[in-house]
Amino acid sequence: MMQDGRRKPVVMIVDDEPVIRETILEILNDEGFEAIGMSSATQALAWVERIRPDVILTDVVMPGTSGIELAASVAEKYPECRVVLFSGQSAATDMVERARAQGHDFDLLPKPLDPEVLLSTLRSLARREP
Amino acid sequence: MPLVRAGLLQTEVRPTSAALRYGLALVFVAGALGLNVLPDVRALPSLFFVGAVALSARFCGPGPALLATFISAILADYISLAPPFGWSFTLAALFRIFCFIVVSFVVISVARKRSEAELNVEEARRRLVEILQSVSEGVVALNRSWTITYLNEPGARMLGLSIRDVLGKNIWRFFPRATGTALQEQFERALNEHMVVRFERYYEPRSAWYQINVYPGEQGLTIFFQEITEKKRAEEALRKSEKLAAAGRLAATIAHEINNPLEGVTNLLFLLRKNDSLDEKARKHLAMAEQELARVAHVARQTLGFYRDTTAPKPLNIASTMDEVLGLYGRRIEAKKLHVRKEYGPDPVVTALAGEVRQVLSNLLVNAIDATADRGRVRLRARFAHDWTCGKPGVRVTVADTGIGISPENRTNLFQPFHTTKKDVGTGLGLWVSSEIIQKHAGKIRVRSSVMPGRSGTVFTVFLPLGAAQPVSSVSGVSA
Repeated sequence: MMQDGRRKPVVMIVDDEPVIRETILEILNDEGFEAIGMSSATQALAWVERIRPDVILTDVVMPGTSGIELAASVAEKYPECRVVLFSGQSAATDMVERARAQGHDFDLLPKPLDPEVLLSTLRSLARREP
Repeated sequence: MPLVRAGLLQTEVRPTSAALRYGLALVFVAGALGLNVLPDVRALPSLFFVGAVALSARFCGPGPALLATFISAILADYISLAPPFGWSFTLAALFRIFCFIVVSFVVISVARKRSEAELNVEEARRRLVEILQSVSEGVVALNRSWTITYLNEPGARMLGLSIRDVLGKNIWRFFPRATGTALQEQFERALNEHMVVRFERYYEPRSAWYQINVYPGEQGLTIFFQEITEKKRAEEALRKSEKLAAAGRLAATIAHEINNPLEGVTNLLFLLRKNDSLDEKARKHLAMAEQELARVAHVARQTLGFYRDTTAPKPLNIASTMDEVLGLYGRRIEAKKLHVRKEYGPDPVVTALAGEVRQVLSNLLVNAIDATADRGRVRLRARFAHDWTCGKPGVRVTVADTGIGISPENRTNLFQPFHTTKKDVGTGLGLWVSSEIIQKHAGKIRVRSSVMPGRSGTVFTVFLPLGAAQPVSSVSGVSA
């Protein structure tokens, strides 16, 4: 399912902030990714089966289901899908640490994030084999 | 010389031994006998013996007084009644002896009643002293001339004093440092205005806090005091943790509100940069906007993030890290025209949490920049060294400035949270966070400073051992 020269890596962006979601979508689409935006973890979970993204980039603290719950659920059902969390809140760090204590290993990127760093992270994940 | 017993200053003396009391009664009778043989006063024989009985009853108790009565009656008959120095058994003589005995009994009875009352008072006083000795509070009694008339054992222990040393002493002469202080003011207020005064006071020689309750009375003041150092510490810790929690909540809220728009603007500027239609001038402006935005993002992350460095400790070149930090504050240094001198030794490398050490260096440098006037000097040094206390190898970092310096009173609380001298811009957390990070790395921080005009400045010295970082996360971020 990974980048094989025939299709672009598919990245699902999950963030309840429209400006962040839309700008990242535009950056990724310009830089050779197939990016799809979701405004909540619930919506993402509903679409992940059909879209089967290579990477999910999700905010952590969102109304309703959190990014951590989304990541845990995806890791269980679709282990080939990579999940990257990003957040501007310190509470996210605690949440990720608790998830790590439960055996999950998620990467957490801080907001605001340099788009160059985001792109290199996603490229490196998209190249990686499951 | 006043007598000290059970912490009480006593002015009355009464023999407690039976032999002594009976002996004293015999001395009184012997005295009366001596007066009787004096030719000029022989006309008042019974009076002296009644006096001896009265004195015996007063000072020796009823038993010795009865003995004194009977001996006095026999001596009066033998010496005073006719014929002198011979026994007389006439009716008149026997009647006089009888009268003497009756009067003596009346005297004894009165004295006994008084003695019983005194015993009751003594018993009550003894009981009171017992109670005062058994309470956990310190108790001091002062008379109206400020003489210490009582101090209980717990009080003496609390103050680290000997009861014997303080009793009978004037409190202000014994504690000269207390004169003219709020303590004296409060005591005088209680005495003069006849009101109960309660206050807390720090006693420096014992490094302890006391709760002091002062009760006025007819005789002077009774002062109850209790050490409350632990309570004060707990209160202080609670206050600090409440402040921290409040600051944490505030930081989290602000961080959320700021980081999300920052993320949006960062992305928008990135997209703008990709726009080919921008001319050279617009690109220059865009680059400046990105640079400024990077600064804002950095400050937001460092001051509001309370982020946790979850990476593992790794070899870190302190000189390179210092240069990175220096780069962040290039514009401020330039604006103030500060002269920065770097003195780096070869390979000042330690194993540490990079983000956190960067935070320490950043805080120290920002403080140096803020404290230094335009065209001042800042010296940065990083070189291999040994711990100044235990000789452990590591890297010593020095950040020195020719700024205004830190006054001694501010130096005391320098590493406490929420202590800041930067009224408008400081959070008072930078040095506290820095010292916490340094402690976590088993390092040390110390400060030397002078506020002397013309020679003012501050030197922060940090020692980081070669490899003592604990691979655990902890609170970081925040600048002073």
